[in-house]
Amino acid sequence: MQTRRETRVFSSKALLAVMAAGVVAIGAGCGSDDEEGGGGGGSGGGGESQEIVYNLPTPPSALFYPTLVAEELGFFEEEGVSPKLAPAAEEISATAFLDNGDADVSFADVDEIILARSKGGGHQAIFSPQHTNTAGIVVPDGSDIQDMSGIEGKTVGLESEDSTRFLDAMLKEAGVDKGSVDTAVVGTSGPLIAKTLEDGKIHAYVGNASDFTALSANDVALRNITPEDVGRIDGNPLAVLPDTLKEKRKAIVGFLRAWAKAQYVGQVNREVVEEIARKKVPAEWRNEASGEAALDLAITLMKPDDPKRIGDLRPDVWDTGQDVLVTAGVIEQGDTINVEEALDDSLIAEINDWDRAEVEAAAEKYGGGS
Amino acid sequence: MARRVLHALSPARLGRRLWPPLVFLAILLGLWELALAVEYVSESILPHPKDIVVSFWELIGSEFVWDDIGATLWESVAGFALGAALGLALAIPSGLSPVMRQMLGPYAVALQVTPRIAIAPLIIAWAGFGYSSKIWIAAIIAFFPVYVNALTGILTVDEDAREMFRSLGASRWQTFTHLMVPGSLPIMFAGLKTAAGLALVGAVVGEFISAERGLGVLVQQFSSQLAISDAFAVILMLMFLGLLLYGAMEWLERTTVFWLHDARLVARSRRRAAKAEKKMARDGGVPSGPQPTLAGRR
Repeated sequence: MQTRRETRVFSSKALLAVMAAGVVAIGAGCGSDDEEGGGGGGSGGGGESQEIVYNLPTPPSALFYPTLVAEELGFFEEEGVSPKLAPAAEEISATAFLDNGDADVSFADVDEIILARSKGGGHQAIFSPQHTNTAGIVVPDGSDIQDMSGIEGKTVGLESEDSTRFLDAMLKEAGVDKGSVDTAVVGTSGPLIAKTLEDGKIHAYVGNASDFTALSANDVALRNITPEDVGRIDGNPLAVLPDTLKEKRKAIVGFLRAWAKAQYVGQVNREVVEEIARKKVPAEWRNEASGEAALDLAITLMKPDDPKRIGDLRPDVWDTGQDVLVTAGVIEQGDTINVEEALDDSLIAEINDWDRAEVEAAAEKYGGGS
Repeated sequence: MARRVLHALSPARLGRRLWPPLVFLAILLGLWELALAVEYVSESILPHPKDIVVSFWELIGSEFVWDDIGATLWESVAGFALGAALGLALAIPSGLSPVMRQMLGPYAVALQVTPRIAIAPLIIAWAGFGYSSKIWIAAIIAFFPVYVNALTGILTVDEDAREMFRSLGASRWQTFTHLMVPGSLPIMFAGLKTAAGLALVGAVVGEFISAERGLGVLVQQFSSQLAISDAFAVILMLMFLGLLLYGAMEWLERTTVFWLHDARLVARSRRRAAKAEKKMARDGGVPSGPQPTLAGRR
């Protein structure tokens, strides 16, 4: 019966190992969900800081440099907030993060907020850092397509299936029958977009400005043919639910004031922002040209119409955004929302209430001291 | 032990073991370079192997990539452990009770045939954006092979051996721990090895959808920036992680199910024999413990 003895000993060990692993794993799977955080950085001074969870369309990136800069220059700490990033992706609606309670504030698309409200949601936009559309349509620089009317009979590559409604709206506005245009979902992989354009498998590409910039930085010459009014629609305005705003108003204002200061640094001291971005997101600088181009794009996209009202809301471009959705048939004319009610600019003055010279000095000091 | 390791690492032995895969690798690299040289494939899509190696070493030498490796490894290991624990926890009662088997079986199969990548965004929306969601995705993907293999292992225990246990008056618990568990371990480990690799897939899928860090995030980042050799280098890292997880399970299997491996069984028997002889010499009598034997070899 020697074998039985041996077997018993090792079976017990195996069982113990499996049980231990199970306990650890269940602890890991069911545990609190704040362990991956870090994008938001420091906890602020003296334990007074209030946590705020914000949702961005990307992991920490130079494309959204204000969070990197605000953390590095201590703006979040000054405002007594401890931000935590909840990065999203195309597959998850940014407004869903608010609905599920996974984020307090969310940088959503204009159409996501309009759609959420048209379905009865109470989402409101309170801050809009990018006064330029981040989505658009490009063609190879040498293409004979000059504007949207030239797309007829061509094949258009899409960033994702979601881009269809954006394309449909632009085609309808240009008087092009969408049935005359073929589409193919190409994704966001730079090499793949470049290759399909180069091979002529697609004649235009609907996607994100950051993808266009990365391609251009790597010698893929492109021309943007996005209609002017569509190009003016804000990219990534900040959405919040009214109850959260009531409950966390101070923290939200603090977070956005820190953001606005950091956004301002980008407008006045690019070198410091680059230095911080290189330190915080080194992976984005593995390809120098792409890194430089992404930062230039981010700074350009975040150039405010009025430097004293960073993040200001512009009802007219929201009207355009809604028109795009109606034109594309995404929402019915009867389901349109009252744009004025969706926008709450009551915080903008408070968010911009800080000394520009002090912020410039802080950036100078960082640039000189590091 | 040291002699065995030295023997295993001797140049002649290593050479004999390594030349077939190395020759295949050389052929593969040759074809790769040829495809690039004749411009069958664009360099913007498929970089030169040497560029990938350079990127790999540069990334390994950088500080930031280790955070991403750690994140993916943690999600995979925790997801695997959770999936395996759930798989075993459900397979054991299913194996022992036909009612439980009928109760759980259809749902386990339904979960398996559901494309779990499609529900990954929902899991992230439910479980949050941190590690938990990625761990759950990895666990759900890793669950099925463990469940099915453990159940199969328990159900295919030798009927004669079971009859013998019954005739010797073994209790249900004794039959379970002394016969069913050891009997099912080899099949169970086959499931665990499959699950270890799948857990890594689950973790990376979760990172593709929403994550702050991880190797999946890096692949996407490098790919969108056209840093294609870096993206390939990260894929190489993922491959090594997969091999590490598989190797860990292989090692655990060899240690736990030692009777399936002749050399280990003989070595263990020798050690026991030596121990018994020592004890006999010390006591000056017949060893009281059982004699080493190969009778248990299956």
